Amino acid sequence: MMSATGRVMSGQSHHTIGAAGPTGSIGDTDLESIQALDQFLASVEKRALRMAAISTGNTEDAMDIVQDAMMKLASRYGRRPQSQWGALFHRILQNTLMDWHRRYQRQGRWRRWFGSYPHDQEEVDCLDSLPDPAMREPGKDLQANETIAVLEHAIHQLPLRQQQALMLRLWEGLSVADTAQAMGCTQGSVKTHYSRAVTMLRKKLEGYWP
Amino acid sequence: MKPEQSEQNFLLRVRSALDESANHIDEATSAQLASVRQRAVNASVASRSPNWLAAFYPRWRTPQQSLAAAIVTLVIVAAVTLMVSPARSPNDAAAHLEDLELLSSSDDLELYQNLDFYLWLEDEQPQG
Repeated sequence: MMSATGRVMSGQSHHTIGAAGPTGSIGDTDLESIQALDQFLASVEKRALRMAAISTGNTEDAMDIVQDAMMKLASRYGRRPQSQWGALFHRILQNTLMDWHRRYQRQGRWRRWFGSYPHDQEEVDCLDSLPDPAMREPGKDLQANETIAVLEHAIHQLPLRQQQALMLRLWEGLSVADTAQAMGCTQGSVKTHYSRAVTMLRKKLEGYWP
Repeated sequence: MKPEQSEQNFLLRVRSALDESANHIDEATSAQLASVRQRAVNASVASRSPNWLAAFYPRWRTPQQSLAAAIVTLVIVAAVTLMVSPARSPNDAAAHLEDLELLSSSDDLELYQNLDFYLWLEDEQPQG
């Protein structure tokens, strides 16, 4: 079954779905729709979590963001046609991420004002823990987990809009038009953000990804 | 190697690394995700209460049309109430109008903020 994004949905879903809503039993059509919703969410949840974790820099906030997005989709738009769920979910997820970043920046300003900025103290540049690429033995590649860590950190350092364009276009495989809808911007902006993201990412990974 | 091919190879590596990152989420996190998903599905079940507006306006099912129908209904009810009720002081009338404004203001302000997105979604709906 293809999702609205065109990616094959292969999520595992073995939940017991409640058969009775607040007004009594639900019909067969509703039950099918709810099962389809469960499968859709199962197909997007892991990528959504990684996307949010890379963007926020921490898994706990990422989990809250993904939960928010799932709840909003399910409770407000779960009865929309299934073909729209992908676009809706991505829009909701990106909006929630932007809200998080706005709050984070506001809190950062207050904390800097009062001399306390925990996020600065907690963030560790993972690139510091890796051997200097210039000192690495020729032909010795990064281990797989180091490759992923380096990549995720590099993406995390991109401006938010570039991150979004990169993840939605490259990882989710959305078209320029669909990415523009998810990001709430023009198609021209998507192309610009994406192009800059790719250029900057290649530059950041120059020494680590031969 | 041509620059375009080099960039394509790079992007394939990025995508592959991200896929690996998503596929190797630990068990505890996977369980937490499953729990979050279950709550969302339950919320969807709970939200499937009868759309009473559809009983009066069966063809008005999109969010925009349902909202418009709700506003029209409220205005009609308010107008009828004002007409049949005894003479009121200006303060009472102002309070009624304020209540009407509060009632008709959507608790889903997000609808207005994302109206262009919903219109696009309607256009994207498959034909036939």
